[in-house]
Amino acid sequence: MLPDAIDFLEDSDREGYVRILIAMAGADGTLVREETAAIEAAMGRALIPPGKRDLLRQELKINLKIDEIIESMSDVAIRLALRDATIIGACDGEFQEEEINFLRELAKRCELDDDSLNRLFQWVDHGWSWLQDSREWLNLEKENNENVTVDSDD
Amino acid sequence: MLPDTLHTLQLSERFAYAKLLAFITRVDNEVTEDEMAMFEQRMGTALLSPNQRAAIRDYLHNPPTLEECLADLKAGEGKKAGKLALRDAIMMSAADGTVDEEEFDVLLKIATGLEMDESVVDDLLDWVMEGYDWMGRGMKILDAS
Repeated sequence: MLPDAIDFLEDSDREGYVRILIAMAGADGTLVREETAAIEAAMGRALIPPGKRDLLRQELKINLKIDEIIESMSDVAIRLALRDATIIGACDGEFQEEEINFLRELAKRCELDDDSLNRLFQWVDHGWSWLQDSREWLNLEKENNENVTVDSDD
Repeated sequence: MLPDTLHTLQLSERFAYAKLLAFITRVDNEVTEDEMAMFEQRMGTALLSPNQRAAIRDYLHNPPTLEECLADLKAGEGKKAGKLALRDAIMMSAADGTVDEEEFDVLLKIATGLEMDESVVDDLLDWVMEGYDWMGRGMKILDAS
């Protein structure tokens, strides 16, 4: 939620960026709550209008093709989508083979090599540690054991 | 974008969390596009329904009082919602690179209002700066800045 280059993307690039994240979330055939939260966060971050978000949510039910999505996207937008797709892939705890293949394909499209992709994986890992640090500052782990619930009405 | 534990909270706690972020967004009486983007991102992470988001957005036009926000956060079962709200309020305050005196005073009031030590505000500001570095490293890997 820190300031990001997404702020400088054109509207069409922002939609493409979200579509890539949706495609990544569906790459392994399952959608966990953490992935849904990440996609909702991305749509909010990209300031996608509420009506458009409804349409994009429908795309969670279909199999999106990378080629069709990136056709009209700028290189910067594809790279940002690759970065955040890597975060989505890590949401459920581990990368599935389909997700890694998806990321490799995306990296190839923006001419990033395996070394850069590996550095991106490490970067996501560091982000996790960074977020974990905040929980430690706030003693949140203690709270976790007392207050983990999920609503059925949203 | 990183997955958080926010979505594991009760719905009422997530609503109270977002309400405090609406309050902090309006502290300096203006809402920049950066702040709006962060605000929308956090509502997305909280998995609020479209109707709830609309209600929270309305608080940007009619801001709640700090006392009201703190009371809602303290009404929850645990302290987790308040702690996450303080953390993310600090992040939003620092979105433009600085936290002015007025914002800092409000952050201290939130911390003490939630029965937390004032020093946590400084600790979390340092943590936010580390987050900026982390984001910067991501952009370098992508060469997309």
